[in-house]
Amino acid sequence: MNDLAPRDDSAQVVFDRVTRFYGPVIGLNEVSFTLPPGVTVLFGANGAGKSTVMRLASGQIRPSLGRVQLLGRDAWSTEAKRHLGYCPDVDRFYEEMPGRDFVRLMVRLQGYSPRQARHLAEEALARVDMVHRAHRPLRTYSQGMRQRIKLAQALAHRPQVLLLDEPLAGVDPGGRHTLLELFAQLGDEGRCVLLSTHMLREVESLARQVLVLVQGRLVAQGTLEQIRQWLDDQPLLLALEADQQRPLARELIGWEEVLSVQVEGPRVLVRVQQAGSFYQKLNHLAAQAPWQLRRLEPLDVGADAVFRYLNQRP
Amino acid sequence: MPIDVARYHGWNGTLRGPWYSALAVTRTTLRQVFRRKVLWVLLALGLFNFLLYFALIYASTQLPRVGDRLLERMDFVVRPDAQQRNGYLRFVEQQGLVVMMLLAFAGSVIIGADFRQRGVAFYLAHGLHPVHYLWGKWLAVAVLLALVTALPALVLFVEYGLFTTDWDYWWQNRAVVSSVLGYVLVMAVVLGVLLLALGTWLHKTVPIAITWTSLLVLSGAVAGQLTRSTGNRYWLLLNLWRNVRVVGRWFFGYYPRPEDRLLAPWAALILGGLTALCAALLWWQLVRLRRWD
Repeated sequence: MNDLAPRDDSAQVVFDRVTRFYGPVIGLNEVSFTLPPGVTVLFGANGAGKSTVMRLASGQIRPSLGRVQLLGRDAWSTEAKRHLGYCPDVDRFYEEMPGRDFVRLMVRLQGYSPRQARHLAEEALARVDMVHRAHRPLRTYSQGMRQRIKLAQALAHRPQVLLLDEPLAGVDPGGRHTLLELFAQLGDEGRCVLLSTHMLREVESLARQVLVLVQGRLVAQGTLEQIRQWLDDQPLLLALEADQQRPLARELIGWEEVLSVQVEGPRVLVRVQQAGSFYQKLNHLAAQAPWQLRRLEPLDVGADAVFRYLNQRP
Repeated sequence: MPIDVARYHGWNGTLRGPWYSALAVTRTTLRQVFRRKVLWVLLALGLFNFLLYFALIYASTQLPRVGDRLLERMDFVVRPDAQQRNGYLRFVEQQGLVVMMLLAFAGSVIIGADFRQRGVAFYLAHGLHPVHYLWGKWLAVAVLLALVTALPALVLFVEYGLFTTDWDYWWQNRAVVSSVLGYVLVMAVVLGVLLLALGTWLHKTVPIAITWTSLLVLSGAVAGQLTRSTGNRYWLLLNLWRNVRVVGRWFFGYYPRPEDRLLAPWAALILGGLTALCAALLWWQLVRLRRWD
């Protein structure tokens, strides 16, 4: 295994102009990105193409156009899959099978002997805190326990690349915290972790980079800060509260940075472009105006807003 | 961050090939089959038949008066005679019926559920090619078949040699081993590939069992009716189960009816074509899975 595992920050997963059709429907449209070691978050709404990326990266399906490589090999090759740990979104397996046997089976599918599989499975079960519950059949597990078992089978053979498809779905808050710590630890260990989610807020703290998918297109790639910086020049929605809303609205509508103004109860909703310049002008106005500006709340900050904005792009 | 510094250590042991990994698929599939209580009823039927033959051999070798009468109806030497007295052939064919029923109800457990729940795509995300996955599944069918037919037949062969205390028996009748294995191999290839193909398309137990029964049992009734009404014995080739038996009997060199010898090459051709068709359907299903249609 070590002969293939890269020892530096080089790209471990490469998507090169990948397009994927499902009959007449396009699932992924000319997507290119590379994944270095560390945690990368794949973010998008349902139907954005996250699962298609996961299936392509795990070699379950092949691209219609372009190429997908994992550690320098085609993702669907047996050699590449041996360095891959995959935690799928589906969780219907052999329901009568105890969790421990399930993890061992998955390790054995990677080519390990029964003895090695036993050792590696116990190690992984300990890591996800399932050792004492691993004797129970899968059908008796809660959603959170299923996620842990799926995670254990993905980790067990110590893969260099980990693909985690919605790994926090159905997990209780306490369990989420534990799993997030585990993901961060895996990233720190130098593994390449691709984590798909539609709840970016939960995982943004551990993301080395974020990929944002919208309708099969990769619309943003970089750190969350980079994406926000890029958004600085994009329209931003702000809520202002003043003791006199209409004079404030009248004043703002004349500014070239302001795209629209809407009075909504005690608030004035302003859509602005070139937010930096707008803030400077607003500071100046607030100091001189006869009315009092009480509150300024950017409604578009945070990862969810980044996604919302990107998702609404034409 | 450099990986060594970050405590990441890959596995340093030697990994085995995907053909070896497929054995894990076989083992798991067999465990799933043996978990179903209803299938144990059929396995018990096979075991009961085995015990019957075991007792017959004991009686025919240890109780001379009973044995003579039994040997008039059945013997345990290498080549069957015209009266179809060969005990091994009879045993394998009877056990084959048990296997046919067993597989009808086990198809969903063996492969159908994997396709119904899309679990197969997940398994193929591991170090397995679809060919290895199918190999593992086919091997499970073959092992199941061998457990019910070949293994007990060979135990009977050993038993007969032990009870007759004629040590030359095994050597003189060594062809029994290859005959039994050949017959079982024919069943394993034809029935195994047919079952896997049906399982990948039909998924659930009831449709698989109905189609399986139609192909192997009803086809016999139709073939018999057509043969009787037209007088054309080539209609017998419609009977798939009969074709399996005719080809299997080639390993014993046994054809009680003249038409069997005549039809044997055609039966082999039909079974070969059916197996190839089923293999193509299997492959098509796996291609569809990769396209995720």
